[in-house]
Amino acid sequence: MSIRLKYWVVLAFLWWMMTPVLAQVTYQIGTLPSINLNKKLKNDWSVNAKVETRQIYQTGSFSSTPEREFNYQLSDFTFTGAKKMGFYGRVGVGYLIRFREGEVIHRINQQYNYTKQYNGMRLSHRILTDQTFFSNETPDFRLRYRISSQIPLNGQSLEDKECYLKVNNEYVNNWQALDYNLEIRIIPMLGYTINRQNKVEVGIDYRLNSVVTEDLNHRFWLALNWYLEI
Amino acid sequence: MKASNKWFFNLALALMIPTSVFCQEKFERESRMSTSDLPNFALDFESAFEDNQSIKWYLEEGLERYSIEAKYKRKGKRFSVEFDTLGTLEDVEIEIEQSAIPPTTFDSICERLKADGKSYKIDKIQIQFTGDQSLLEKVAKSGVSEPGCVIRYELVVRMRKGKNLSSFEYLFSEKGTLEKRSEIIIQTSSNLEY
Repeated sequence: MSIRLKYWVVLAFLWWMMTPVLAQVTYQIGTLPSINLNKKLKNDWSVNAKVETRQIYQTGSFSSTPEREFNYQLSDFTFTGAKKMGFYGRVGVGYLIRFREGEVIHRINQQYNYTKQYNGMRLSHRILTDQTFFSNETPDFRLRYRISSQIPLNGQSLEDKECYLKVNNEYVNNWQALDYNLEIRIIPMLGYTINRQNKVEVGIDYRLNSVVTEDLNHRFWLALNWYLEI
Repeated sequence: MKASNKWFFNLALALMIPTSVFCQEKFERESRMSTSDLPNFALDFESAFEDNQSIKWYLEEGLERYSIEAKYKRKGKRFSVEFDTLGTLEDVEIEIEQSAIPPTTFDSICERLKADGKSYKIDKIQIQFTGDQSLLEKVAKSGVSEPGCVIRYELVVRMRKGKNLSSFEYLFSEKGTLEKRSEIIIQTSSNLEY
């Protein structure tokens, strides 16, 4: 058998193997706008309030016709208190209340951030644990790690009225009852610093869910963020 | 001038100097310059490198003046060369490790930093060369000091003063005497944390 023929046989075999898997791959497309208020307090303390909503416009699987229907999925209200630790760190605890299709969900989180300025970029690491409590499901426990980078598009440090590129990459480990799941998030954003108090960002929040199971789920959100220092 | 008046005048002057030298807020706004915007002196500077050194050019806006800065990496070191808008080479700065500062100078620097804040961490150190233009041109290529150059050290320091955490830019003489200090105002990072 020639090498070329072997190549086509292997490719055909892989395609045959992949077909049932691809059939199960689902996706969602929607929007994820958020407003983020941050207030510095005395003695290195700060508080943060975030409102985020989620709307779905299209769902389906890659092998079938998409279903286009507007669905207002949820609203999240998060409150976080944090304190600077060391020269670059910040620890915080937060509470989230989620309103999702008539259900009220409560979540608490604990987080540590390490943010440092390097030549031409700012890098931030976040380790976060959260516990979610539902009215009719067993609690959900997550361990998350996120790395975020911010690169000014003009010059080496970010100034007012300048654009920047921000990229987040997060790994979300999830345990609920005996089930384990992994979600991977990649979020490229284009940001603009209006002034020291205001930043706006737009980008794609891509989430690949159920990485360790067969039911892969891709979620694409058009993310719109407004960060406001008060 | 009477002796008492002279004493009062000297005291007032001594009080004014630290206010003006040490309590400034650093304002700098950099914007990248494209090749088509480069003045002739910048093109001449580039062509003086025989090995096609890649250089990024920035227009730097300060509180009172504009300058043009060339940034490049050479022999593993980060260089920053500042010109005024007429093309006069003003200084060459090279990023260095702490170990490159003579121990006695570094001790004086540390003493000053300890006196200023409860605790501190040095984020970045640059050795700064000023002096005759022809000497600076040589330093900009070789990264090695030339006899006749004036040496200073510029440090970016994260410092805790009381209960506040701030960033400062310090400029020390070759012997470790403080010449200038300014607070660096940094954009908040809440968009990276939440």
